[in-house]
Amino acid sequence: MAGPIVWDEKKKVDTKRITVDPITRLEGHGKIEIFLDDKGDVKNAYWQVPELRGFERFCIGRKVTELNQITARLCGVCPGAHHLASTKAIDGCYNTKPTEAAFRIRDLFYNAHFVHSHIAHFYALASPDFVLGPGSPAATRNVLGVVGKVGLELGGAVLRTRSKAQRIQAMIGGKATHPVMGVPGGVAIALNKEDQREILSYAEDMVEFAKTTMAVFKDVVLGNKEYVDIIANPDLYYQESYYMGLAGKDNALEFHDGPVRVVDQSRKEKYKFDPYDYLDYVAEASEPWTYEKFPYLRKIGYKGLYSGPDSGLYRAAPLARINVCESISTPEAQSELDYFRGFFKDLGIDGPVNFTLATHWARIIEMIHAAERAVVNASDKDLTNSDIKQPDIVPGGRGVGIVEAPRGTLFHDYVCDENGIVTACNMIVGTTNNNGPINVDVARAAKGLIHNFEVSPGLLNMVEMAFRAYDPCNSCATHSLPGQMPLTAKIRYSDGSVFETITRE
Amino acid sequence: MGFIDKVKGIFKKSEKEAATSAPAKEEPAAPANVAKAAEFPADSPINGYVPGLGAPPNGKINLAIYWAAGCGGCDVSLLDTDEKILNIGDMSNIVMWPIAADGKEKDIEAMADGEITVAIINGAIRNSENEHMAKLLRKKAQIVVSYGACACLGGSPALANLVPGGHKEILNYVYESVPSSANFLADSGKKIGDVMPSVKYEAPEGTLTLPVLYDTVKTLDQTVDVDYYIPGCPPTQKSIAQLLNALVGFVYKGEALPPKGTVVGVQAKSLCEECHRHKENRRITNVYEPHEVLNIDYDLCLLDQGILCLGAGTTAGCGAPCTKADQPCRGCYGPTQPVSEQGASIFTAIASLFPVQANDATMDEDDMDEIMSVVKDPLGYFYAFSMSKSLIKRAVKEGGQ
Repeated sequence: MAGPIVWDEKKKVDTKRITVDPITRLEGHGKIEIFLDDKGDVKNAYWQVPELRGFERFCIGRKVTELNQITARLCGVCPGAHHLASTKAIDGCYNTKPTEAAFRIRDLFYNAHFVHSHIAHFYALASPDFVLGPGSPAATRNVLGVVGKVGLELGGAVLRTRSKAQRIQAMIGGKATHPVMGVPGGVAIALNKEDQREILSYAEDMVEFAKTTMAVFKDVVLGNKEYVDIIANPDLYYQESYYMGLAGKDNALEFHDGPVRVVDQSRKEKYKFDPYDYLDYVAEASEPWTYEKFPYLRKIGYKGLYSGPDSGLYRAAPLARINVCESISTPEAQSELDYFRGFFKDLGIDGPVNFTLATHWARIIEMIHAAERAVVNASDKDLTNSDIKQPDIVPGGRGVGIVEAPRGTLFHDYVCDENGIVTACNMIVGTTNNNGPINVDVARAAKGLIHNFEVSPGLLNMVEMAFRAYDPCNSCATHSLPGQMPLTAKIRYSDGSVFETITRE
Repeated sequence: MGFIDKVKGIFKKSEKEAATSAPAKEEPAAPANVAKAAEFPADSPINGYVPGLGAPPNGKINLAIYWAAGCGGCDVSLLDTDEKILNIGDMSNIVMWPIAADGKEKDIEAMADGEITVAIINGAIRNSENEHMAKLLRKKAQIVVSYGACACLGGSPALANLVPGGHKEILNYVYESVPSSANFLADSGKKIGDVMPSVKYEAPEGTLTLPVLYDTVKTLDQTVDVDYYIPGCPPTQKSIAQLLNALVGFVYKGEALPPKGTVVGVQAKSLCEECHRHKENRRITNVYEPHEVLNIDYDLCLLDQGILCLGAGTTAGCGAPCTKADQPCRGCYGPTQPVSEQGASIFTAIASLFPVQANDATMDEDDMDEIMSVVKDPLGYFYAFSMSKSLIKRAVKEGGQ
């Protein structure tokens, strides 16, 4: 059987503007505009996000206890993340914390959510680029192509394991998509021993499957020198940004609860702050050409779309979290972290790993950790404790809830009055953190790949790989239908008329 | 050569490991016959895949799946059909996928009218791009399915209709008023006019455009003609299986489709009738939120326990997963048929539980007001998913239009 196809045939175009539309992105639609100079090299590229639903405004006037269900609808791919961040903010508005039993159930729910999300992303979205190759015929470059190449065993195992992760969330939250788990100070319903046995068996399967996934990644990606050369090429998918992630005990990898930690270009701690103080550290710029905002480190400032010590742009999501953490609390994931750091140390990299495509690797380390942590929770003798709600709590005040969404640090910040009615609401969502860096990576990849007016479907796909590594919300799940990830590149004359349309199906 | 075989080996191993704890799945001998194709079991999360279904006798249908103002949860619900998804691939060419927009639009435009057999559209209509794509797909598709709460009722995004100042007020709030944006403006000395997203912007390298936001969020059928509805936030697997069964019967065996306007996946009764809880129709004397009742009785109706559940005004079909999780129904499956005003219908149902009958006048209007004052945001609560379909539709500023 032939190996993956990395490069395909280039074609000379007579245009200075390439529109890649649609691309995968968060919430709905997106496009990339690439502008060429007189030599046919890339002058600049823009990643645009053309949608806004205005949740922050229409959450005002609602009951604050409604917000963990309303804001889950920000994203049906990671509703668990919004539901949990929102529930934590609601806890704050009631000046309470979850009971110990409720915290454990939330943690179990959330780690199952991570496993579902990371499986969907790696297999449905990322693996076609590696198993089949970025330049492989477009018609096969999807999850069906992957299944066709590696067999139904793969497809079956992927679907079954993701299904188990969804099932755990549904058992705790009523439904996996748009769960109803959280209430101020707790969770809606306790688990019984039967639930616990079922969940534990699923969680144990998830650990085995995550370890298998790592073995696949090492074989398919790290075992192929061409891929390693692309991943570690500083002219393509690379930027020296700051990194953000929650910090657990001793700065261990953490998804659910803790202070926010930021490391600099040498992986030294730059900031560590309490969620309630986030406005001192993070602000959001906007630009007139996109509805998506550009978060940045406030003390450094927003200087435009580049990364470096004097630019406030930071990255979140798996690679950032793996760069931010000092250790991982579960053994299998810790040993994979050691291997990851050793691999890059051998390439001479001692600080943070700045290669964007290493995000895929980091994601699988996280998948293992989430599955292991689900086992820890599911094995806890107190999991079925019925003390799941806080008595005698009343609303009034501000609540800030921060979790690590699969796609980055997620901020929910509410103020409500003594009737529990929301008077102010602010949110910074996972993918948004990466908006600036995605623009930087897309432009850098385009500049590194497109020269002398020569483009190809494979090259444009490689431009897409720049943002795909970040797993912009929704692309994870949506790539997996047996159809295709459709992409059309319209090559235009400078007056806007279409010279040629390259379609990949 | 080599690495793929290794992957295969790894997965074969993992299958063996999985088989020890996972319930064994029956692998029917392929190829399955055509008659079998229509028998998707409705309730299993994994089973139901028909291996070797193959292409339909008259060739694959063209299927478009598109999302407007949605969250992706409807798309995940299609992914959650698990292996059945492979049968959708057997049955159809997917000519469009939710994340596709303008680019693929050219290909859709190039198709003849009616060349798409089925277009499944989720999400509400909240901007010019949503509207344009809905109209284009309607033109090209024989059958349009309105999929999920947002497309059918407006869904959560339609709560934006309660913002009196419409899209301008929303834009101002998001880019100027929220503290993280306000800090950017204050720190950088920039003016909001210079950074506010604009439908047309002259970048140094060329013009960049964005869609126009509307003031009122609409349903799909307020925008284009719709053939079938499948409600839910998101639709449950049971409902989706019904839709797929109908499609498979139509495509493989030429079976007639349900009459136009059919709401797929619902039953002609209220959610209460499929909820596991028993009703005592107790009079409501106090209203509680779920977190205020420390020990919710799992077998007793939530309304009987003073928790405002919307089940009585909501259609059955979802299997009541929320009430199984000790949370009230929030109405995402929409009104019972033929009621169209879900919020008002629930108001009525709840009001009937106040003890105010002539022979039982234990409560006067003031008492009732006092109880109901616990519901601080009745519009948001009772119309959480159906604002676009309500008679109210949207809030406006007093003295405005």
